[in-house]
Amino acid sequence: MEPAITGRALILAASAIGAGLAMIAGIGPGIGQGYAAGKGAEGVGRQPEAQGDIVRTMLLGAAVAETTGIYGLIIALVLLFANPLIGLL
Amino acid sequence: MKIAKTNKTINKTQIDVIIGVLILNSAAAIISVIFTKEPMPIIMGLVFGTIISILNFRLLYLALKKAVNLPPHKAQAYASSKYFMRYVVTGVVLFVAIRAENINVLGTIFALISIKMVILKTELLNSKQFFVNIFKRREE
Repeated sequence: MEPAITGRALILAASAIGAGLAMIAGIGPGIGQGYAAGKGAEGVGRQPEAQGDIVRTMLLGAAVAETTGIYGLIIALVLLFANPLIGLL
Repeated sequence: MKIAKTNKTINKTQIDVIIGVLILNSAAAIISVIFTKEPMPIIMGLVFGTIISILNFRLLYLALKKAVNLPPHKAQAYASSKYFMRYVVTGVVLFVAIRAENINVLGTIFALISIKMVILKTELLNSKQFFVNIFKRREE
């Protein structure tokens, strides 16, 4: 008798769930960047001459934060389209 | 006068980061030529990733420059929506890199993440005082 769920199907299902969970990592930098931009806008409103410094600091911080989201995206895409676990069967 | 000076500082920072990314990825390309049998897919991946990474950095600057002149709640929504737009672009790039035969995905990933290493190197690890502070005892 053939098993109800094959190993391959189980791995694919688990990978899809894992990819979905990995995508949660992309939300954090979005919220963080928005929050930082809001505070930056408040700062520029309070002290317009400091706009250059505020944008510069925010630019560097946001660029570093953005790569964290990319890690999650990479994991999700690799699990979906280049799954290394199927080769282990 | 002061605004012009600060704009010059921001532009200099951007140029420094972009040059750093180009140097780092060129070094990675040279290393791949020396140590791998088929360097062409890796170089293609590095070039592809570098272009998108620089584009994303520039888009980030333009988004933030506009966001700081908006009211705070609008700035928040604007920055977040622009972030998700860049995120989708990065996702498409990674998908293409995974699917295409002649592009190595590891090269693309390295190029996309290299901007973080360059910023940390140019802005944080650029002074000796930083390293001195790591090893300095608090109670002294």
